[in-house]
Amino acid sequence: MEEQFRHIIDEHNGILYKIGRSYTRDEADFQDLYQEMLIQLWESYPRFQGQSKLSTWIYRVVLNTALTHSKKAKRRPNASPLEGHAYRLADESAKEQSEKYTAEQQVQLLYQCINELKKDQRAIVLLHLEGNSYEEIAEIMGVTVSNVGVRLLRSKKKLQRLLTAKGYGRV
Amino acid sequence: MEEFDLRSMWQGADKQADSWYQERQEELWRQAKRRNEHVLRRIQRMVWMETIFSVVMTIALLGWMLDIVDWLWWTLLVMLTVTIVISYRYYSQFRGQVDEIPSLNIKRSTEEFLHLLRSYKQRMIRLSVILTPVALIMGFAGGFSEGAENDFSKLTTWEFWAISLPTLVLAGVFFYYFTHWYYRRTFGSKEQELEEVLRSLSGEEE
Repeated sequence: MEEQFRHIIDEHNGILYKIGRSYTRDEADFQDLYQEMLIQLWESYPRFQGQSKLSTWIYRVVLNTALTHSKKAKRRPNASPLEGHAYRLADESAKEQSEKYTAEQQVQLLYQCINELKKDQRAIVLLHLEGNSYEEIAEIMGVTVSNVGVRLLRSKKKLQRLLTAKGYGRV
Repeated sequence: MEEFDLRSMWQGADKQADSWYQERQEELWRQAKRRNEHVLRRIQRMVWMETIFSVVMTIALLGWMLDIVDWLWWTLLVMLTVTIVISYRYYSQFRGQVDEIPSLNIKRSTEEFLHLLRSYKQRMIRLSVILTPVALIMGFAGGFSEGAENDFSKLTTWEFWAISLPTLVLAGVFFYYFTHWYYRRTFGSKEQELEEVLRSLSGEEE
């Protein structure tokens, strides 16, 4: 079972990483949350019986963990803020490096802005950015499909305002 | 800003996630074997520890009081057994709910989570209010039995009750407020946060 579970996480690591980054503000807290999500998935895995899509189950467990996660910042007064994780590609040209740097800054800015949304708004925006349909978002969130549209529109407008205020376009 | 802007920015996040995971994969799996520190799991461990503690204390207490009068020994046995049975029943229900909650949809999971937190709070308060006088009465009984060689005549004097009753009430009031304070300090902020999430999710449903 462990082998099977590891394979699932290899395939869906991006969900844990992006949700983790969107619900934390410093590196140590992010690592705590990532671990908590991994442990929660492992403990819930034996109860997963395929009644919903695997990704739907992962989103539910991971988002529920993020929503109930308790920050342990008091234990770490000098916690370092989250910074973009630099990814490396072989044989990059100067132009490619510069483009990559800009892309990293943009991602960083997006995480900062998502982090300023209310917790439930964050969840809905993340699910949308991940390419889930309105029906899937409704199933994960437990709200009606028609409500997803209204809620998403409102959240995206707020996100756009935040991005503009933080200088999106100048990066 | 157009929709595709957000999506293209998000693709960069995918690359970051993959690269981060590839670099730390082994370390992550090593750390994943550690203890679950989720708030519900912490409560579950606390309830389990309380149950174990009650069993150990009961056995120790009853062993120590083997030579007290029979009626008192059996009363203590029944009271403590009932407390342990209630505690264990609560623990079993709690464990089942804790396992189920993370896989529910966000709204239901938040409702269930809040329900568990509140029921834990209720349980803490009830235990502190009920068990404090019970523990004091047991202490008196032990005192009369061991210290006064089974002479319970003091129980009928007004001086005894004039001191004991206010003490019992004061102890009950103190533990009631102490439990409230302890709960607020430990889980209060989490409860408020989740209430806000639930209000937001439920409000827009109407």
